[in-house]
Amino acid sequence: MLVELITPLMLATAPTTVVMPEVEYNHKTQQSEVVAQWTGVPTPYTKTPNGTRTYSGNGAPVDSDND
Amino acid sequence: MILLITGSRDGTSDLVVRSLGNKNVFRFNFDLFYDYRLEFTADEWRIVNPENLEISSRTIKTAFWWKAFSYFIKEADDFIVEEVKYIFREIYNWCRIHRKLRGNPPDFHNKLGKINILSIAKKYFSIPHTLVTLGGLGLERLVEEGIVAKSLTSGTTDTSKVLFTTRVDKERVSPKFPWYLQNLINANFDVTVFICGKSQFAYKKSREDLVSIDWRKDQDLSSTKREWTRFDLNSDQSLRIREFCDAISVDWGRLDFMEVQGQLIFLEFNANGQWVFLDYDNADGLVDHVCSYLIDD
Repeated sequence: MLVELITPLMLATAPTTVVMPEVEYNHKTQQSEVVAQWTGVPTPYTKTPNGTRTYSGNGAPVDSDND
Repeated sequence: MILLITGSRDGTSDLVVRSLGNKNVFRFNFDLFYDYRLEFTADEWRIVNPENLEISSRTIKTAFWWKAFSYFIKEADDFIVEEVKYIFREIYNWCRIHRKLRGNPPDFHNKLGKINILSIAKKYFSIPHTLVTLGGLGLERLVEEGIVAKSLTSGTTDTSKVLFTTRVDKERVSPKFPWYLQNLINANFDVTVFICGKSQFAYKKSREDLVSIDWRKDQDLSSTKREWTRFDLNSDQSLRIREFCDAISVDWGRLDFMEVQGQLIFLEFNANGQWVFLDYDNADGLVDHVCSYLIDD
């Protein structure tokens, strides 16, 4: 019986996505500030979600672990 | 003044700026390069932000790179992006040449890498049987009881998927692909130790409730639940960690382990060393330690 081979691509999964709030960077404070809260995620806002993954501005993951 | 080379949407950088005080740090955001004025000659450099906050080769005290190229420049030609990257790298290299750097360079793993680090780590810790293979060569080295596939780069596929640590049957791994394989460890806890200067901050997390093998897959991204518990390393563990860090010449980063019946098994060294997720409410004062480390001469 033939064994079906697996590849790294077959094992890859889509990580959790996050809903990012709209933020604007303030050069005076040198920090980003929320200009519109997101909806649907009942948590305090954080621009770096509580984890090691990096998300793009639209909330899509850009790595599994930016460490 | 500290030069923080990062991106405008980075929350860790916001935290550091807030803690250091706005006057003590100059934040140089790669994705907002068009907002800054910069001059860089063979003699000196100077960067000015739109609020006329300024840093120069004369006023810089230390420099820290934090995920700058993880942020993207909108609507810029690739040629321009690469030119700007060159400038950011060269400022960073100036800081390296003048011994201003804190933390690890962003290309740390390009110069050492996971397997080379494992070969150093095995002098100080137990390590799992690990194999990087092309063409399936060496698969017989891994025991049958359990094998996991991992990613070397933590990158994404063309379809924005990622490879978390996943159990595989070694008879089924296609020899036509690159594989980073390790023997499965049945551990009680994940352990991670954050290195910040001479300080070590150890945290553990039970694997009992993990849905998958990889804690990264099950991370709570909400900042509402403290997932990691701080604990004290024993003196032998602490000494071995210090000796390992000396061996790879780092004073920053995170070491990942698994704990099996009280013994630490080394998994990997994270040169970037993300730390906010361990202490997002600063109950342990990690941000204060980080700021002291960044300021320290």
